[in-house]
Amino acid sequence: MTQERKKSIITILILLLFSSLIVSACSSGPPVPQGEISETDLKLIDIDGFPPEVPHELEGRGDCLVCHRDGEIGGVPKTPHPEFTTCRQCHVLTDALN
Amino acid sequence: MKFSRRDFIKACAVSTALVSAGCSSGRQPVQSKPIDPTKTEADKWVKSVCRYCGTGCGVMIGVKNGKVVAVKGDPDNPVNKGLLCAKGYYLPQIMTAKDRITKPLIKKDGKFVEASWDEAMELITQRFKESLDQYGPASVGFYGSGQTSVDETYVANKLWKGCFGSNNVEGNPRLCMASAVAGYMTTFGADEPMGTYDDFEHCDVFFIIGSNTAEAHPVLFSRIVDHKRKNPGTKIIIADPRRHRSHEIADSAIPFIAGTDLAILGAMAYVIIEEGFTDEEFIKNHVCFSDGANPITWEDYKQHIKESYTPEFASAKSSIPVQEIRKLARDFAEPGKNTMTLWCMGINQRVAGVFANNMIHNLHLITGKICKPGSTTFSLTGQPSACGSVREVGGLSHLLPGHRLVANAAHREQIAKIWGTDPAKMAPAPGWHTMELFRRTVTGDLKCLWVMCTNPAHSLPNATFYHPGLEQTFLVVSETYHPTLTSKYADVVLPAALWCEKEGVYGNTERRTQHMAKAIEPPGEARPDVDALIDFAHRMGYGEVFPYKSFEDVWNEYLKCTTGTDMELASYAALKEAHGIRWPVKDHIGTEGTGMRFVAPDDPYVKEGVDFYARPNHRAQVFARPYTEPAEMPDKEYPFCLTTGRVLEHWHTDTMTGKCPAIMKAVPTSFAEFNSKDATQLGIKEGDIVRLVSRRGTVELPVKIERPGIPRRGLIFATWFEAERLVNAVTTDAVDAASKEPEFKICAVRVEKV
Repeated sequence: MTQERKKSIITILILLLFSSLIVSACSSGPPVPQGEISETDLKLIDIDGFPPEVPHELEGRGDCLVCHRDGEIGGVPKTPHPEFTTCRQCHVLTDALN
Repeated sequence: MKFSRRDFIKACAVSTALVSAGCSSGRQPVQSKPIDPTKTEADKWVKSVCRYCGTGCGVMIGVKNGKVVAVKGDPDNPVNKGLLCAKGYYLPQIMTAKDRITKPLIKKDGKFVEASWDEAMELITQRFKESLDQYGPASVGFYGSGQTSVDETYVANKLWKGCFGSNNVEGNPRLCMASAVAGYMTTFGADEPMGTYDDFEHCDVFFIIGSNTAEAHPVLFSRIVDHKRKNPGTKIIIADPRRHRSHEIADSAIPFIAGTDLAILGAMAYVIIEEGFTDEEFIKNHVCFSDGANPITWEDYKQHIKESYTPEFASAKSSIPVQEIRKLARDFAEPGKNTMTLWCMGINQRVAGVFANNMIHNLHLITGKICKPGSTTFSLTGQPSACGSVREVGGLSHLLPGHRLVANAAHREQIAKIWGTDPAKMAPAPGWHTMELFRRTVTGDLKCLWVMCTNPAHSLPNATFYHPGLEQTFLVVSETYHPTLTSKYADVVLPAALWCEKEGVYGNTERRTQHMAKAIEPPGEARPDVDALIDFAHRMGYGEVFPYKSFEDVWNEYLKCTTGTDMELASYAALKEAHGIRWPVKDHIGTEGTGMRFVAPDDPYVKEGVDFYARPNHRAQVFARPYTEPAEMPDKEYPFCLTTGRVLEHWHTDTMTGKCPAIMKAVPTSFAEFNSKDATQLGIKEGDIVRLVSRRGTVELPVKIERPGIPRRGLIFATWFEAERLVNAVTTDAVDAASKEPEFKICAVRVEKV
């Protein structure tokens, strides 16, 4: 299989994933308040124990903020602290090495 | 095939268009996790320090019903400013693990049986007394750790060196920091970095060599990332044979052949001299030169560099093109810029570790990029209190508290006076260094060994060679979890209180001494190590000089050992209040203590300007060091170089991180990481199991290909945290001649398919 074909297939897979997310995003619960959260508010978040884990493979997706900064792409979770860019310092993968 | 970030963004762009079309209104982004303050609402929050690396992040521990329910970064601690890494957040899970040991165990007929503290302590006392009577002081040893609290090593050191007359007191910092100690000692006359983390925010050029800062010191890395984000002109240069997570912010990379870094460092000096980047004024006022045995001149040193380290020579050795070496030197030495070098185990765990340390200091001294905010040489430490509890307390076979030496009669007198012990009882010669200490378990010369808060059967290089020694020695292991590879060989296992189950003090990489309050009670009959040691001292007949009733009592005595030295520490009361205080501490210094050492007005011992007062001539020494290769480079029979290291999620022998389900899900096993071209040539693929074979032993590991990092061709990277896949069966126990630190980072292996 050529590299280009593989890339096309992955692109399609991502599109499918997003399409399924659109369905759930459109129909799901009440809006969550938005906007930048300051460092002071971080204290509150940290009390809640463990940082959310990353439930997907990272292959080719080194920069988490491409999707998670605004959370506007397919309804992926939006980070409350976009000022921190070394995401995997706190968020471990659930399936990193398998 | 690679699906690059660009490909992904392209895919995302298409997806976004579809999202807009398919879901035009009403959709709101989802927060990553809803906040539910009631979930872990704590009864109280206790100020402490993270249990893991040498960064020394301040934490607040949330306690509810006598249990640790949450850990968050302390926003008021200037080290981490509220940040933590994953390991820190998961700390509550290490406290309640199922394999916590809660009663003493005694091995009877090859099996561990539960015993009372009294029975266990009586057995230990009897065996140590017999050994001292029959075989003398050298037959009893202590092996501690950079994870003990200051008081624990202090008490053990006093009992062994002051009372038993045995200098066979060692600790695992010998395996990680000894070369840095020897580097600072030889060049500056005093151990530990002169800079602080504050320098990060003033630095223009970071030269990172032999350190995967992003994974080994994640919070420090975040500080660097943040600084670069705010100051985009900041240059980050990473010299490493493996491309790793830290490279995500690198402006340039120097992927030299593993083991040839001395050639790079020497050639940088060559270019700096040839192209006129030297700071003649600084050299004239503050620097002297040595060939390692005798003083030499600046001209002699230049001649040495000219003869030994041409860029062409370095290029041939390292595979880095001459032009890139020249550019590296120019970036490092750029006039008007502040430059910091950060290094860690890639430099220290080497048979030329001290030389490499000296050669890093050399570069800063000849360019004058030192003793200025943002310009310094900064060795990163791996354990939370390797500096505080071992280097400063003197928990190595040649040291006494307060940076003193056992070989110095005046130092022995001073310490014996504070200890209330007989100076004549103290041995004038250094004891056995770590690798020698464990070798003596194999030869049978060491009869009794107390291992505290570390796991040498797992963490020693060439580990399996030493296992029979541990088996035959009378071995006391005070540990938190059981079994570990080490406690398996124990005759007595003592249940130790963990982290916030006791009061303590840790000293981090930047000379910051931090108090840790007790937050909860230890489980079952577990006790703080210091209690067991004081109990032992009393049973051995030295109760009179161990009258301590509290942590504060021990601290106050230790404080006397530091008074008037270059590492004078803060009072107990001051430490309890502060978020750490950096030594040397004098009354007129503010609560954070000394910033830049050797520089006025920060350092209270310096009147004006810069003064390397720890050296007799008040000058730092630049050393002419010869090019030295590792003890074992790849050859026909063993064609690959193996290097070991960390992932962010795990720490040391995973006795703690292995208790955290999320971490185990993220990184379940150790692995061997290959360059894809090597993998193709070997006919191995991702997920295969390979056997790595060295001259000493073998280990079987699952294969990863170019992830999470990319080793250069010929290099295999392996993690070593897992007991079942004992990578240290393969590593070499060759040591640096001066620091006695083993060369974990480089050995030759061949690869067999399983």
